[in-house]
Amino acid sequence: MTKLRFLLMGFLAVFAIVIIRLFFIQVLFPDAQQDYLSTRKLIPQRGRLFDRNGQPLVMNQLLYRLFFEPKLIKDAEKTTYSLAKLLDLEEASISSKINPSKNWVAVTTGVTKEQKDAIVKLNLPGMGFDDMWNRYYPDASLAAHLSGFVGKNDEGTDVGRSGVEGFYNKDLSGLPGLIRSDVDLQGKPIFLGTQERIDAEDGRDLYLTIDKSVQKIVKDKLVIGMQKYEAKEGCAIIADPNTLEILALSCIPDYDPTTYFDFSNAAFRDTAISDLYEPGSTFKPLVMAAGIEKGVIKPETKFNEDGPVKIGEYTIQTWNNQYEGNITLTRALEKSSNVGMVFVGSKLGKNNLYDAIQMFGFGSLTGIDLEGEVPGYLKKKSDWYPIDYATATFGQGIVVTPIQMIRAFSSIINGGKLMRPYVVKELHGEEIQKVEPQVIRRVISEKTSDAMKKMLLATIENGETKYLKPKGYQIGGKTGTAQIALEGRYDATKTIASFIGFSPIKHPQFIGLVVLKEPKSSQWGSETAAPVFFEIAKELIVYYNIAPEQL
Amino acid sequence: MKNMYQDVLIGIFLLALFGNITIFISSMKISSEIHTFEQKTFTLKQENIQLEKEMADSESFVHTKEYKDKWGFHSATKPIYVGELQYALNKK
Repeated sequence: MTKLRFLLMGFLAVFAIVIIRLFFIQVLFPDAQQDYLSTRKLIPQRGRLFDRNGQPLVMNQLLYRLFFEPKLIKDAEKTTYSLAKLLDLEEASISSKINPSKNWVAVTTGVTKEQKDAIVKLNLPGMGFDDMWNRYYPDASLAAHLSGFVGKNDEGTDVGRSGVEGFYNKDLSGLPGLIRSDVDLQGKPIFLGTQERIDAEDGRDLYLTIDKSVQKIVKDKLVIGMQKYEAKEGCAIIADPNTLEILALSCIPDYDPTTYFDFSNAAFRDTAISDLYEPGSTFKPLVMAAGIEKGVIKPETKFNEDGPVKIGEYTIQTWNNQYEGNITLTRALEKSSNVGMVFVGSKLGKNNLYDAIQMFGFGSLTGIDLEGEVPGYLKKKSDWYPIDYATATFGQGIVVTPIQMIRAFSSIINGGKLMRPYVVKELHGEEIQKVEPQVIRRVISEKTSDAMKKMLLATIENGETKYLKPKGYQIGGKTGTAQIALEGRYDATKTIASFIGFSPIKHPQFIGLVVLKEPKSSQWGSETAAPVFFEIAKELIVYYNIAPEQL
Repeated sequence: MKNMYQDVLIGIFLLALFGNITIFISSMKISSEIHTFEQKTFTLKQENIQLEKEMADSESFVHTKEYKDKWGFHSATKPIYVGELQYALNKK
């Protein structure tokens, strides 16, 4: 009995010690910083972006934030000197952070793993690192407007801005997870305590329709062209006219998405989807197609181009004020005759012309999966004056976005289908979600489309300008030169030069639009935007291994 | 009989104590292993991401350009494109 009592007393003594110790820790001297139930948010990895061939466009990288716990720093001078050397920072900026009155001070962000390892090796007390996920762009700003960038919202969390990052932010962000666990004094989990874990769900990887090589070609040629023709801004889009997959899209000036904070908001604006311009003569084939579709004209229909046309108090001339008399409408398109287009407009009628503009999707969103698209502007039918109907036939007095233009033009060469342009081909998460081409409506018949392709081929073959196009290859297209309206008047010295073209003729594999704003060396689209397009087309023909149509 | 009862009780006590200590120690070990594996998994994830980044770098145009400059590729070494098909067709 004595032994048992002794054992019992022993147990009671140990139990009392534990209870008293717990009372001291939890009631008398609770340590606010010591939380035994640790709750940690698991940050999901943001989805990556790849091109159509699986080449990486946007990746993730782990960088670090270096912080000080100034109260624990023993040798401030050594710490300052060593860090300044390793991080290439000013000593003064580091020493100013060593403020012993503070518990925690952030020193710098963007510390690489190599730098972190070197700092850890120094074994200096009073500093630590926080993990920070960052976006990494292997090809720098190659596709800046397409990809967009990842900024911070008001709460300081990552959020996609503009382009694909903005449009697919929810898919790319994923879902954060959570760990709740009892931990010991060393921060290690206590197996028998609370253990809850909800895994984070990483964001979905996106495979774009973009081809990185085509993007590179387009951007390089656009930059060279802009420098050559001294243009203020430039934009080029290449798409597959049969599916309206965007193969390349580049607008200059652009920005570096890694250092987006060094750029103004204007730089983030993707002019291909957010800026409006007057398409000028590139609009003519659309009106011509509408006329042929309605059966009111044919490519071989003749009209008498005998001089300027008067609409009320306005006079409409040809671009060079020269007139060829009795010519076909194919010839009118070849020589880009404004007078000829007024004739087509008169045959089509006001209502049909307005309906055709709407039918081709102007004044409404194309639905492209990029953040920041604007629908453009189409005046109400009741607000149109007779001169508006006349000028609209040759693309003046009407505003469009480049993406609307390429969509409408694709429809007249792909057999008549107006489609939704898109840049994301596949979303890879737990399942693979494929995005299929989407036909919105039929706008013209295949017969009209074939006729238009022949007319557009003739426009390049017999137009006023002889282009340096690849020998043996057939390219169709149309130039455009629109004066820029300033304070209600057109300034003849400032133009938007554009060219829209495609190849091959029989089964078009690519369509391209080049828009140059205010080129200085020449105001004409045929002398600025068109050569840029042909430079791109030459490279694409080789890249896609397209066979010549005539040798 | 009474002594035997006491011995059994003490035995059960000691067994329970020993069992408790064993469970406590093994739970500490498991906790420690969980911690180690979590850290290792995280390190592996970091290494994977670093390798992915290096792979992306090596396939990038920026990297290609560096080597282009290093190896002296310039306009004179460019191939002749289809604009001058006569070369390919031997019609020079």
